[in-house]
Amino acid sequence: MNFTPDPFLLFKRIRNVSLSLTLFVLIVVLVLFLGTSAICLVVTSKLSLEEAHRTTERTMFETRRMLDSKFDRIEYATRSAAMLTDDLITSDPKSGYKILRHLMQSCPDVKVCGILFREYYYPSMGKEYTPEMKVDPETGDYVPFDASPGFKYIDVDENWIFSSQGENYWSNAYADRFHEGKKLICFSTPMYDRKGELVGVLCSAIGLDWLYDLVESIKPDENSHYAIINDVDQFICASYPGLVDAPSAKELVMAAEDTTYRVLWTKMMNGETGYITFEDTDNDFVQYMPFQRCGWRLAFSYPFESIVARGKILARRLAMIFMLSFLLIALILFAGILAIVKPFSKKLEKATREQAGTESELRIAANIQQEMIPSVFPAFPDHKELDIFAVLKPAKLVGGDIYDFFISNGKLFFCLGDVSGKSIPASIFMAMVKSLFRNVSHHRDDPGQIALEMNREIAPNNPNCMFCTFFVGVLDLSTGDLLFCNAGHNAPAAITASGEVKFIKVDVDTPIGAFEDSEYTTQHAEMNNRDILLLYTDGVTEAENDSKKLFGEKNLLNSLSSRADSAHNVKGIVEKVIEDVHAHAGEAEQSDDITMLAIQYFKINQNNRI
Amino acid sequence: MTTEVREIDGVLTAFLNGRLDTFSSQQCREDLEPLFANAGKKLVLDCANLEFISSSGLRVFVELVKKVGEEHGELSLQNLNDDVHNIFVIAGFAKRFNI
Repeated sequence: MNFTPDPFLLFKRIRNVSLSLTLFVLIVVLVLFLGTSAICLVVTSKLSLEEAHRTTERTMFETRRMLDSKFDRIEYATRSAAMLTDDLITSDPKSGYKILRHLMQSCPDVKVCGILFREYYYPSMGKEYTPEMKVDPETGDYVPFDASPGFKYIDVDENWIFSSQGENYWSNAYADRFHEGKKLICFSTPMYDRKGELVGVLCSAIGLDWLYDLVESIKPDENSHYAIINDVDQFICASYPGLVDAPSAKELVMAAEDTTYRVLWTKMMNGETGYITFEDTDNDFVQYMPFQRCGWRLAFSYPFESIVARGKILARRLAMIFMLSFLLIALILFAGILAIVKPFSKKLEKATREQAGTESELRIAANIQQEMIPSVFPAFPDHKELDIFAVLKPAKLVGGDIYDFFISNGKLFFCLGDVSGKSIPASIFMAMVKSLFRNVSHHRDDPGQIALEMNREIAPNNPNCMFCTFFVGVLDLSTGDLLFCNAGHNAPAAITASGEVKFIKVDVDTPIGAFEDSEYTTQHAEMNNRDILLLYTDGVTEAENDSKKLFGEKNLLNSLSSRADSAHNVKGIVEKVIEDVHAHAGEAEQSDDITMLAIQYFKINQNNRI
Repeated sequence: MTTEVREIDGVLTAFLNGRLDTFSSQQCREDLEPLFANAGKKLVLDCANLEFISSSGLRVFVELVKKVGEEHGELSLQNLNDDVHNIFVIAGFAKRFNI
């Protein structure tokens, strides 16, 4: 026997199933999480980009607001001071310093201020007279001084040109000789006397250093760059040191390799509002906006790296959350499944052992059953007058069909039967029938008597009313005389030497085991030379195919006919029937035991025997 | 396979319906318990709708007819179709039952 049951196989399978289930759930979680993370990252980077644009825009509005506020203060102080002209300006050329002091006191933002008097306002001071005042950077005192020598402004200075015509005017940036050469911008407003005649132009200049502090404090990202240029292409303020000293922005953008700078510059100079992305380099974007009050254009860059960095932070956090969740889920699943499986595993193990044991025992029983029936063919090589062949194919491991034969005193005793029911009960009953057949036929050679005695043994102690349809025969090998008894079994088929195929007409008695008082009759037939007798169980004729159609007696006769030729022999005929039954059943499961016993008789002249 | 037991004119009658084979014989045996309990009386098995009977099914009939014999009751099988009747004949039971 090759069958070695592994009692732990089922248990192992269950564990494998738990493991597979855990892995499956974890993979699903992994996929879901990766998918969610990817969506999160995409959405976040989109939101981050939008947020960066909004922040930058807010920064520019804030810059403009603060510039406005500063410029308002200066304009207000300057224009207020100019209104004091009539009160403070006297025939004394130094009277102008009173206004300048007043102006500086009212607005500390002003670093330098001065009055450009109209031509020959003080004839003693010449054509152009410019009293100015500045703050001593060390003492903080106001220092008045005469800036007139060498300073020509009539028809030259932009503040003079516009404000002498009555305008309030913000100048371009210029380097002032009295302000350490640093860049200044200057607001100017006209001064009138009570007659409404122009006295001069009052100028307030402020440096640009404060712009850096302002922009640095509110720039959208710590790595943002910025630049403010005015409408005559001067740099007012730039985050790159040295850029402010460049003569013009245009020269720089024309020299740059990335043409995006040129597009940006053009749009800024056109006074447009918008943003541009530097795709060639690192996806930084620059947002720009005009500050119309003094013709400035603001530009702030936003580094793409910062947006990516935000995504990276999110990705790191997601990864950490994921790792923790994953470990947690794995632990819970593992613990959960262990807790569920453990109580069952012991039962399963036991059940598996038992099942394996039962199956193993059933196989042993099947082997014993097979050993009980003669299965070596040719069975009687020394008896030339006889050829015999049989098969028994149980539907389950063990079955209730039986055949047997032996030769005693020149006679062949044979039987074939079918126990009611299937599997183990039928197989036990079958063993009993087979054993009784041997016992009884050792002292009886009349089939009716054999059946009768067997029935008397079995029937009285048979509470379940099991029975066995049984055909028993005794063939005299020297004469071919056949005595038989049919206890409820199918009529056997015969194939004569001439090829005729038929069912033998037989009387039917009650199956063995059913009733204690059954009577059995012995019938007689004669076998001629080369005649074949075929006994079979209803597993042959009632073999079903998938559509429940039976093989039937007609098909059986056809099978036999196809082999009923001059060369017919028992093995060939039985195998042909088996082949045809299988062809009929197809894929359908074998529902009943299939058993056949074929006997061919050869009449040998006694005189010729050795 | 269904088995219905009714009392008709004082006669306990079982109506068998379907295929009485190995799988259904156990159930049929249980369903026929009223007949087994009254084996000394007059019983009828109505087989008009019995399509098939296997050897396991025959066993139930044999058990019943033996019980009836022991208790001197009376069992008759009625309305058998040709196939089922043939099974009784082939199996040698025809003469044991009052068909």
